[in-house]
Amino acid sequence: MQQVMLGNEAMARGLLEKGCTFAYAYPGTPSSEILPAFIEQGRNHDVAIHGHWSVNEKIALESAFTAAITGMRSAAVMKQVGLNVAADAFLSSAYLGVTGALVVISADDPGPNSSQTEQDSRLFAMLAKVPVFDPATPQEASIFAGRALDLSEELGLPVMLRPTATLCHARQNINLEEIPNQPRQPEFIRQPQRWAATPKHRFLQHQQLNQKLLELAADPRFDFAAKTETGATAPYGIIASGCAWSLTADLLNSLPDAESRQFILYKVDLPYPLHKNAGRTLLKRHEKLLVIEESMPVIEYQMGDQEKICGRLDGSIPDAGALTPEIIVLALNRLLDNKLSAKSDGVTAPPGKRPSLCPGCPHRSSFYALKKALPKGIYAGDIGCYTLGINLGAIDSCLCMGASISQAGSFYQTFAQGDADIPPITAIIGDSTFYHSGIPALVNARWEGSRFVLLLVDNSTTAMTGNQPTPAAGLRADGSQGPTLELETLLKGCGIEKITVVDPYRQSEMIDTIKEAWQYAQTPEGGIAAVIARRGCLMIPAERRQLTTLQISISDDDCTGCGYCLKAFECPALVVKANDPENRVTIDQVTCVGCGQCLDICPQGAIKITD
Amino acid sequence: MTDCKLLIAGLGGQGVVFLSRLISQAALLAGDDFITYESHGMAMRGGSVTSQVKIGHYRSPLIALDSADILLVLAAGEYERNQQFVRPSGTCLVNSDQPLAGLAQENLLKATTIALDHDLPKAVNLVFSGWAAQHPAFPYSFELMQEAVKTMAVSPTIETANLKALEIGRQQY
Repeated sequence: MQQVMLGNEAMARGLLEKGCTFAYAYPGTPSSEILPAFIEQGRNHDVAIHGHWSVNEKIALESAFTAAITGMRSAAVMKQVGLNVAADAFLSSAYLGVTGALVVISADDPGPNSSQTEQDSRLFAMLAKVPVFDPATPQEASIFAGRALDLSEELGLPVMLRPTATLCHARQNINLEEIPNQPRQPEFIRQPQRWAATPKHRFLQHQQLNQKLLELAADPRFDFAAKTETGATAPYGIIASGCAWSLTADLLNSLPDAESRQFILYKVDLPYPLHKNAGRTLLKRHEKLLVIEESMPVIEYQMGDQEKICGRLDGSIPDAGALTPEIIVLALNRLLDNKLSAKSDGVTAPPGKRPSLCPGCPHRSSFYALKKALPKGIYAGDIGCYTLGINLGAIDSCLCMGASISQAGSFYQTFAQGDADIPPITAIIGDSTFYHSGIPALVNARWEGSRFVLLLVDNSTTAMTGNQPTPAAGLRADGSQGPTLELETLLKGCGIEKITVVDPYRQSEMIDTIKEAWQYAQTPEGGIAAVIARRGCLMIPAERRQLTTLQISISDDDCTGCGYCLKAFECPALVVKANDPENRVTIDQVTCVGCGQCLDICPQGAIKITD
Repeated sequence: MTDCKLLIAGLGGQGVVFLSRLISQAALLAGDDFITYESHGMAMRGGSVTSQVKIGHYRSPLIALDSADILLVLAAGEYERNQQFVRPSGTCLVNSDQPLAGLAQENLLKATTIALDHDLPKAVNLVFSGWAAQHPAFPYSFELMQEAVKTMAVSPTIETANLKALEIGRQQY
């Protein structure tokens, strides 16, 4: 039986097929579809499972780890930068180990396409001393999810499964195996010296961990040099793992035989710990070895003789950016003195259209009001759809999840030390990001006595990653209803006394509210003034249905082609007329949702409701 | 066993991903192996989106320069940056109201205008694929694409609307 599956869905399937019954995740591209698929497939097969959107990745990993020390099989799922948030739990979990199984899926985003960094989770696994699988295709990711569970339970260690975006969002025909329904009974054996180990015991645990890794590095199941056909010879060996391997395999298959015969390709399933014999064997077998991996030289760091090895460290493969077939052709050509027939010219495409906020997005209205209210301000941004406020000139900084609040606080403290006037400072953060890591930052900023406007752009969802629910409405990942937790209550609990809720679609009211908030922040009894700009994301069908729509048009007679609306509002439905010498703007009626938010922005008053 | 590399390009919200899923579903019905890749996340917010579909025994979904058999373009502005991936004798099919340099008129369809004329503004991708499926270079028959639409429909209403859009496209060829 086969089914079309996204790489992420295939991993969820692989977990379920090997008896994983707990999954905890925080959404983040490219990993977001794994948890919903886990819950849906588990439900379809009537298996008792628990899947939950944790408030952040650290909590997800702590929760999954705990299930795995009661003998259960569990998974913690996140994107690569989420692993940074979960780092404390991750590194410690390797020392303590597990009695069931714990798979940490950390999805990397070389490019990056939708992330702050191009970091390689395999290197993080190496730091944590956690074995890591690097799957090459969705089908293999499904199988490796199960292998990772089995290896985790066999070794009593957490094991990482590291897909990259190309795999997560690839679709393939996937072979389905049975999903077993053999529930385990949780058992927690009290062993404080293990589960609450003091530094003395941590040292012993570290030694035991090292011993397990040594044995794993000698395990014949992972000897990638032995698996390849014996007798075949070629001057060059290529060592690759994951999607870098699949890319290389397809490329070698497309070359004429005379060219592809120059290479033997070796596939590494477990990049850390790298099998100890494989490197030595291959260094004897080939004149040169090319290591192709994504996105950092993890295999290469573990190889011995650097003279015979090329890859990222000697510049054969660039040290930033996602791999492309052309990059691999260039690297092969270096070995063959440019004798390859395949094309390796750089991709010379003009840049594509940049992403922007959706038509009718309430964030656009919030940013428009913010710019009007505090035009000379500092706008400390955060991570979510609203990072796109940068297109509107309403985001000045974006460091990592939750940093808008710490940065706004610190901008205030630095300017307060100077002699000049303190510019208006605003932290812009979405509801989901606030729950994720904004709360400790707010407690801190309040304690520190910082003064700024906290603009909470509350669209009641985690929009960027596909509308996952937040604790506000209490809806859970499996569709069940939990207790609600209002942002206002949380803000009060953090000591914020000035809280105003406003509908961003009421632009003039919002402009006044933001101005007033900054004035309050500067008063002696002030500090942090919160403005909650509340309106649901229009990507949620129910929100879309509730929208009162208007038919909008632009009068050709009134539009002067000044382009102000394109720059200040940047709605995808505002487009320059084709072949118009005056570059006048018109409404793309297919794209327009009829929110009417653009009606007041034209300096000429050319945007109108159609009669 | 079909062997075909398709590149689909357009803008976020146009249904590029749906179209690639439809072709994958057709491949599954035909019993062919395939692997596809689509952009997610930030790129989906109205920005340029491409989806790559490789039918046959492939491991990676990524399409190299000069190697795609077919390029399907839902937004004419995306044609220029993607044409370099098409092999010299490959086929480019573009949704465009305007003529495009280097492309014969028969490779263009005013799919957006046609969809709007039929009051199907959200089905541009289906109108376009109904038309494209008639082209000799397209890997699967129109009938198989119909089957794929039926398999993927989440409700009878959607199935009827999607089949109608597909049929409108077919009549344009």
